[in-house]
Amino acid sequence: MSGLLAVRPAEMGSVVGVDPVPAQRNAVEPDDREVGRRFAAGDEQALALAYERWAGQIHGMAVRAFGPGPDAEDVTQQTFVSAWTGRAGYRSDKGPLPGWLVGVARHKIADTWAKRERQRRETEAAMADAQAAPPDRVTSGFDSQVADRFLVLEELARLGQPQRGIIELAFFEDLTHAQIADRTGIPLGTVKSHIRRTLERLRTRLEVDGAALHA
Amino acid sequence: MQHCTPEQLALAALREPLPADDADHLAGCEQCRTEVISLQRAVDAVAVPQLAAPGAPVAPPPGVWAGIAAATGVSATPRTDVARQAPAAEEPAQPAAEVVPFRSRRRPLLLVAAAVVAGAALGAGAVAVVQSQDGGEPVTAVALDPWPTTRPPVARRSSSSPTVRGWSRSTSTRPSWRTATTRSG
Repeated sequence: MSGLLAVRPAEMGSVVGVDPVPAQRNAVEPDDREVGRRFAAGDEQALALAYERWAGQIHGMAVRAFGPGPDAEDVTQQTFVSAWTGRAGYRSDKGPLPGWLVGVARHKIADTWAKRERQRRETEAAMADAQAAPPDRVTSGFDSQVADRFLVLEELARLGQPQRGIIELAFFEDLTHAQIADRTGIPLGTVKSHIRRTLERLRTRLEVDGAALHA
Repeated sequence: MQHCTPEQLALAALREPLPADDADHLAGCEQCRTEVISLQRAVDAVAVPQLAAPGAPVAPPPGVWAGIAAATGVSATPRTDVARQAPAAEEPAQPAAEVVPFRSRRRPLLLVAAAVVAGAALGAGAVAVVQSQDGGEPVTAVALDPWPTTRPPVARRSSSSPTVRGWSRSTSTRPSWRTATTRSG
């Protein structure tokens, strides 16, 4: 298992370190795993190193979601602030630090997105009021989707490896189970049963808490 | 035939194509389809491009770190030269080449834009070559080419990625942003 986790940073691929001078840095600087360890231990320098290496990837996601500007900058900033203040929640069984940061960024993006949608709907509702049109046409569908999204992201954050890595490759990189097996070196049958169990777990979470949210 | 296995139904929930037997059964079996739909709720909740795996890095402006430092009270500072160079990492100087296709198909518009830029740059390079050869100085042509040998993967990626590795599994039923990607390829 530790072998699997060791190769994961390269295989997950989605979070490639930003390192324009690798030759110089490798001699004196900790590798990504070490940065993760120090980050979890509260070493301030590790936060700066994590920012150097992965802020570009995180900000790239934020800009893709919201375009360049204050919303994207907020997402990037909040991702690192939350990751730092919540660093106790990061352990090596969560996988490499950059993947964990991406998970935090997804939460922030979902937050910001939901906020934007809410504002948009309020504006629309205000306009509909002004025009005396029947309100509430679109709101309930959107609300349940947003609620589901938060629950799924939250549940994903609770998964250990390799379950989390597997389902993230399926969800966020759109790989088939065969491609996931290929990428990770995990046997096909194991990938399939992890996918099955994770989807069941997510379904249960949605059925229990999703229902409660709407009650 | 018997019902599909739980594993197959999970794959169906992810919209992977099933073997013909399973697909036929699923099409006609209310019980199996209900199971797929119930598993699909989680899949669909996060199937939005905003949450897809990271693509091209973008260097955040300096104020972002300032905000982080202020909020956390951390006094260590990242080297700004490194952060500022982040966009350069779009070029796979690291062994990222094999993962690029999976990422890129999530970003059809960005890739189209990248391809356009690449094409424009290549075009400009070609013009530069022609012009410099007119001047009888072919060595200059190399220097003028704005798209050195490491760059072509950007253009290649964008044209090939939509068909790479199983993308077809989502042609029919994925949310529209995904099918749009397929069509764009």
